[in-house]
Amino acid sequence: MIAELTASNLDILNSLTESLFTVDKEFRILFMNSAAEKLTGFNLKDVKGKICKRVFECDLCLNDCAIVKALESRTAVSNLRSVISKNDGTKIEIKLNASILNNDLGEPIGGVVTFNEYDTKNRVEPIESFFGIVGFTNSMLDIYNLINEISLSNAAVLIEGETGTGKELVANAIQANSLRRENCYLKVNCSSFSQELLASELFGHVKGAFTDAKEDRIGRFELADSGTIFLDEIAEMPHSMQIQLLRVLQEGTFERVGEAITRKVDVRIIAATNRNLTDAIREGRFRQDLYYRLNVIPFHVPPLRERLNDIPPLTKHFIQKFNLQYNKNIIDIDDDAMEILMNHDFPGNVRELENIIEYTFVRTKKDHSICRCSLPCFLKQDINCGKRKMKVEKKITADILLTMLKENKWNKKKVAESLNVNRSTLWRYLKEFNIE
Amino acid sequence: MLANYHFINRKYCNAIPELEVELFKNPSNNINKKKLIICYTQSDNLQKAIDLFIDLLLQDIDLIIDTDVEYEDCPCPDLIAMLENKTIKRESELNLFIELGILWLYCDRNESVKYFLHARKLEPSNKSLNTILNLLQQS
Repeated sequence: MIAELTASNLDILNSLTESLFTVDKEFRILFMNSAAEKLTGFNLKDVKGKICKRVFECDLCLNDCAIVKALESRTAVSNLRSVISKNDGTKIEIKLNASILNNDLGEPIGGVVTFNEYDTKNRVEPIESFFGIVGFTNSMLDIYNLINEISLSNAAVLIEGETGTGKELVANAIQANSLRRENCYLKVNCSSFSQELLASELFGHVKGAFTDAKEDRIGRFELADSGTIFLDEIAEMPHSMQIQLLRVLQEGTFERVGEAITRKVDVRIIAATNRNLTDAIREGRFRQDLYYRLNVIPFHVPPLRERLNDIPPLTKHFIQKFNLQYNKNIIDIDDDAMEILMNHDFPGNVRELENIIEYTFVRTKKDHSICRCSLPCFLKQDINCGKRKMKVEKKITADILLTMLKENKWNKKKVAESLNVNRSTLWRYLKEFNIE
Repeated sequence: MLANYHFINRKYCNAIPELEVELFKNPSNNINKKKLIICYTQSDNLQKAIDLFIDLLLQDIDLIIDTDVEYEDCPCPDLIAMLENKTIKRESELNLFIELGILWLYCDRNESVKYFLHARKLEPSNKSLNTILNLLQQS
């Protein structure tokens, strides 16, 4: 139990300009300070004992509750942006922090949330995204269109793409846009388990099925019944497990490990891999029949080097994300730094870009922009900030560019080489001349 | 605490493992049992729900009967409406009646008994049903 606040503690909390409320372990409001009452229009006496979600209707409640994030990360979370409802029904945008209240034994007994109305001035305009995916190149727009087209389908989906391209985000978008969006959605990384554990994880087991099976355990397929399951790194699934997965796909049936009872489920499967499954089939590591069953609706997420135009919006997106995380107000990245990013191959794709931006946030000394000197060493040349590289550029016209693009079958790398310019310069020309 | 979060958000299949762990740590926590029964009914785990339901009836039947639906944010009225309107379907009439019997006890004892009696008509020799009805009639 959380101890009642003393009068002096109450005075202190009520003197804060920051809004604050606390909840118990059932997420019932225990206390709300005067600033919170003023900002939201709720009175403590009316909301005390009520579940915070029902009072504030925060948009993070369903999937990204700040208190749960603090609970799971075992650390306070800060600067989350959210929208809550006021007592009069209007919405306000807030910035909030949350932390967990523990008892003397270190067990969680509640949470505390502090928040302020979000200052809409001086903020970076949010980048539009498709279910959290940022990217506006044609290849990404094709993916969004396909996700919309299959929204009424329950067919299996196979997502292929290099590591770090955002396959899981695509899977999330497919699920969130499907008929099963309100139902259970579970994720399993097939490479994280041994064969025996994976079977138990997916299909469950009965007591005594193996040494550590001390009681019956329900598997992910049963838990996800009528919902969706995301099987990441499907190529790593042991061969003997593949036949069991094939049966689930064909008949919807399986048995728990150590049990003879056949169970039936209705689960949509979304699988993903960064491997070339055709090679895996040829090498006998992946079943061809399973491949065809999974590959009903195929997606290929392109590597970042094939969608250079997405680097600037993705960079802005990560700047926004890390502004909140690191409590900074970086507005943009300077041209030199962007040029370096545009010329990098990104073998780790979007994840690598995200890591690079986070690195620059830690290192940058400027208040509002990221400069090239804060980029990781492996990216930059040894040039100090402000000393721009002098370069003679040819006079390029839209006609010349179009002709060269046609001659080189739109291979931008070859065109850049022919013009003796780097890829970022070519990208700038294309943008300037409005050539897609 | 995580279990409560999933339960509030009606993510029953996510709440189950959390509640099971909590119950393993503290087997006498009947509040968690009360929630876990509902979760089991919504995750196609009716037998586990029945077993735990009987266990709780034996230990503290009033904890279910005296549920304050609004204060406890109980999902049973919504679930009952969906089952009775056939928005969600069950594989057999017997399972449907048992599930409704369990869920109604959180809202209305008489309705609960009515559904358990319907279920017993379908399977008179069902030991669990007889146990439940005996316990309800004694209460």
